[in-house]
Amino acid sequence: MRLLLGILDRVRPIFEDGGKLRPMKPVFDATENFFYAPSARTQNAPHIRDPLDLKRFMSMVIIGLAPCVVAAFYFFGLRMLAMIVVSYAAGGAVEMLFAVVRKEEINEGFLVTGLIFPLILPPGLPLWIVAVGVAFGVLVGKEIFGGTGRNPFNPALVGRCFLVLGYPGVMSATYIVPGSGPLGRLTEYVGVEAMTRATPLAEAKQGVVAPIADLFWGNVTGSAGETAAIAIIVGGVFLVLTRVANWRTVAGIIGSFTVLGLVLHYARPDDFAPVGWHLLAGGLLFGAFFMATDPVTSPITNGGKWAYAVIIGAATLLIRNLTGYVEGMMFAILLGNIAAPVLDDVAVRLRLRRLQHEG
Amino acid sequence: MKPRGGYNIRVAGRPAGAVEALPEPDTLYLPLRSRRFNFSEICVKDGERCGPGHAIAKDPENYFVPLLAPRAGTVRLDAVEGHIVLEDVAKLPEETYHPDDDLPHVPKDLGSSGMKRYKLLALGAWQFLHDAHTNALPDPFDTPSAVIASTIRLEPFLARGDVQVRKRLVNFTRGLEHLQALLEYQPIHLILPEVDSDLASRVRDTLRGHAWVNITYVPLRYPFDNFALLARGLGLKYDANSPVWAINSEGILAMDRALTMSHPCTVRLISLGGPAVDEPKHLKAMPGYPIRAIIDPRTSSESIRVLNGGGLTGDTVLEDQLGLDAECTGLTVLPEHTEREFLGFVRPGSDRRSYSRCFLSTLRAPAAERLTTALKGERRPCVSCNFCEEVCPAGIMPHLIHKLLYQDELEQAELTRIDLCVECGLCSFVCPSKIDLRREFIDGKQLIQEELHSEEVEA
Amino acid sequence: MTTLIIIVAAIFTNNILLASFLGMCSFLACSAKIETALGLGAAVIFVMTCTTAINYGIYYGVLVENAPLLKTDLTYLQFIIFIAVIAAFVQFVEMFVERFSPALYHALGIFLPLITVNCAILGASLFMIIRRYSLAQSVGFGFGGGVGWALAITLMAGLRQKMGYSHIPKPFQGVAIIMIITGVMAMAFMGFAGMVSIQ
Repeated sequence: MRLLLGILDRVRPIFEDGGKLRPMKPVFDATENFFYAPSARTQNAPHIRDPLDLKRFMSMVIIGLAPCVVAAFYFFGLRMLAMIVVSYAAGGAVEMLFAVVRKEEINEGFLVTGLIFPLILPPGLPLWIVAVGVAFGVLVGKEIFGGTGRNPFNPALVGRCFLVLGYPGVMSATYIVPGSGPLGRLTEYVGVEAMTRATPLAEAKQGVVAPIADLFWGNVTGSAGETAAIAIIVGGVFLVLTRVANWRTVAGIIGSFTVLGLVLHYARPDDFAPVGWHLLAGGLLFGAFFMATDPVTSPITNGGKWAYAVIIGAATLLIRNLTGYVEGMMFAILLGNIAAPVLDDVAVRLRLRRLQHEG
Repeated sequence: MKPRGGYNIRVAGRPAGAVEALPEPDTLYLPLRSRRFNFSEICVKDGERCGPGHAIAKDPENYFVPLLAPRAGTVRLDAVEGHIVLEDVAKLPEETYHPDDDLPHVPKDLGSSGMKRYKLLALGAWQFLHDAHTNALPDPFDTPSAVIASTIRLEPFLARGDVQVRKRLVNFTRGLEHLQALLEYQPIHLILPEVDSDLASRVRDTLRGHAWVNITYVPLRYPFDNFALLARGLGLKYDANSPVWAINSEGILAMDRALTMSHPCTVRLISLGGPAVDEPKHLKAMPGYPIRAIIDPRTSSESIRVLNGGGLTGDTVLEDQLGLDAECTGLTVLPEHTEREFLGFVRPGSDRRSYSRCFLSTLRAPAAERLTTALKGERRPCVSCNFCEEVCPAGIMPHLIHKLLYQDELEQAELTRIDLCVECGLCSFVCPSKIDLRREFIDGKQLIQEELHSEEVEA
Repeated sequence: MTTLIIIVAAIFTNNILLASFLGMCSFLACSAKIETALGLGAAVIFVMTCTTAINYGIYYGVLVENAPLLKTDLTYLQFIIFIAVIAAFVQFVEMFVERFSPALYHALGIFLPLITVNCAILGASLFMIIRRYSLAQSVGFGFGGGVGWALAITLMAGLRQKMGYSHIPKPFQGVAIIMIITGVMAMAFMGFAGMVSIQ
């Protein structure tokens, strides 16, 4: 350990002012602070601080995603590894470019975006499309606004939306049949030459309803991370317990989706499948636990979060059943992100009215 | 009282209840500035020999509150910048104290109540009073709408109220009676901790017969000892025309000392705490006592940071401050951050407490930790995790105000009630993006005062 | 198609700003604060609803061949007549706003009379002709179009307020970043495509 710190100390002058590689300082800082806790000390009171920092915050999300990543590897094989590598590489290149040009540090938010992005794509998607998608998402969804903490839209969803609208044929035709057995596809690298199959939601539009047990344990096809409901629930509950994901968003989405689903199924049972099936199918759970709860793009007030969650839950159900699209979660979350500042405005006004008589 | 937010930080180095008397000093370095006062009017000449309790400087902007010489000594005005130095300090009880000699010229037409207030001011007891909402020094000849007498002090590590009152219950009660005599039926709200302590029950028993004391119990969670929060919790709104006074245990004991015994109040009970102190305890000190003489024998760490005050609101003692200032209530000593952990952010973290639940310490919390001056992260943009809002005792939204101040929206920040901030420092403590929220709010409030309200004053 | 379906479609599926991209200039200029955006949006709703009704009456009552009032085909005059009606109406609205909300009048400035050349308003009248709506459907479309426009500008105002904390690169500051955000908003609203059809 000391050896690495020694190497870093010796290499550091090259990246300081006057050194040859000064423009690449953000990359060096990111590497150094990844391995070793930062040497920064407090300057102003309070001089003691809580140990939580943003790196740890993001690491909690990655730990929460781990069950989904393992499930993706099991069901869809080593191709997932290629997609994850491409996602980190392409997105990381955009991040690095902006950090170097703007002379700012590389922020940790990208660790999460780079991992989530492959998990919401069809497993058989050509790797160049993955790269284009993540580059667009990081560029237009985040870097143009100044990086982590300053973006209004979820970058992974902006990238996916771009792919869905720009390459609709490829995006709907590259869903691979999941593996099974003790090792699943853990040792295989399959592309779309393996059988493709329509997702449970697409099949439902033709009248074929997949069994709920399959949806729960992941024996269905779909986007890489969203098939195994059990993995999502385990990771998601972990995030809610560590208070990284706000429980109000999760509860609101699942709640409003359930209520609207019950009403619609009762009114027109032929057109709307039972709520329990809908909850486990598609990307609802994944979106509810991991994507809608992104603290930067969701409302900053608690009341706003409830309204945001209700909008997302209702919109997902309506888009799934009433439009030509098969899955509505992505559009619903983007709509929620768009509405978030207005919801916040209302919630802040109400909050300030309550504080009027304070002090 | 229904307080909100708040958080108890467990730092190693809690001062024991034992009080150690410091050895008598040879030289005293009295700073001319303290948190609220600037003793700019100097009342002695260079080379003069002043007596103990003599007023050597006054603050003209704070009702001429005096800086009293704790011991007899030879005055040196220009030896150290910003200090009055007393050399050849006499040790008690060699030069005895003559109370009537040293009381400055008293105006004749004060009346007995006015005389009491004058004595409090001249004998150095008035400086312990605060305006509950603004923290300023109240006018000695004014009448408040209520008085808050607090026995609790919760910030790590400031001198605790129970240590001061422990053997002096009689003086404490007498001090309260003096306080009550200054008022005209306004209530005194006595703040006791919401725990079953022997001291609290003895205080309660002693004051049982006094109808003019309302006892309120407050949970022991930082920062519920803050005067502004106590005032708001008791329903005492801010009104510039009828101020609310607030005073601590040491102030009440000082009132007794000044009015019953007519002695000047120059003894300060301070706490010396923090992870870098070998044996944290309370100390019987005096203003001007050399800080180096206090710190050096009691810490063995090499690089340390000394804070004047507690770990959350205390500021670093600068190189050029040589002695304790007139309002010092404690010194907190922290070890400087030197060690860099390998892969620090993925460690399970059973050895570090956190407000969040992202460490193993959530399952089984460690004992008090040895915290250092590490920032424990890097400065990042706000991600609206809402921890600051949850922990804020004033009920405001610090992350929203931070974003408004960042965009220079001063009017919006004022509308979002930045004025309610009590500067407790908890928001900065919990922030994962390591934003200096407390500093930004102090600067923001000042900026708002200058830009938005200076025109009103001039007009 | 019922009027209700047309209203819902005009707000979500065929949002006159995010799907048909009409009415962009005052959208780009006046979306800085939520109050101003709501005020302008309310004005646009009012103008759009009333002018579609009036223009319907003029078109089918005067301009069409075999209309009740004149017998000749004057449909080539529709653009001028519609614009004149809109301009007169906007004058009326301007006087109303100046009387009842001077703060809003000053906040909107030149953009209140510029509602006249807001292509969304003319667009609503022309769409009702092209799609051959009845009177109820036309007024519904006008109302829904206005609400959709107001919704878009209010959401944009919220996003711009949130963007105050962002670091926009110099070349993108101003209109460019708003265009990008409008693009992402349009992408998101495409999620409603196919929900209801009003073509």
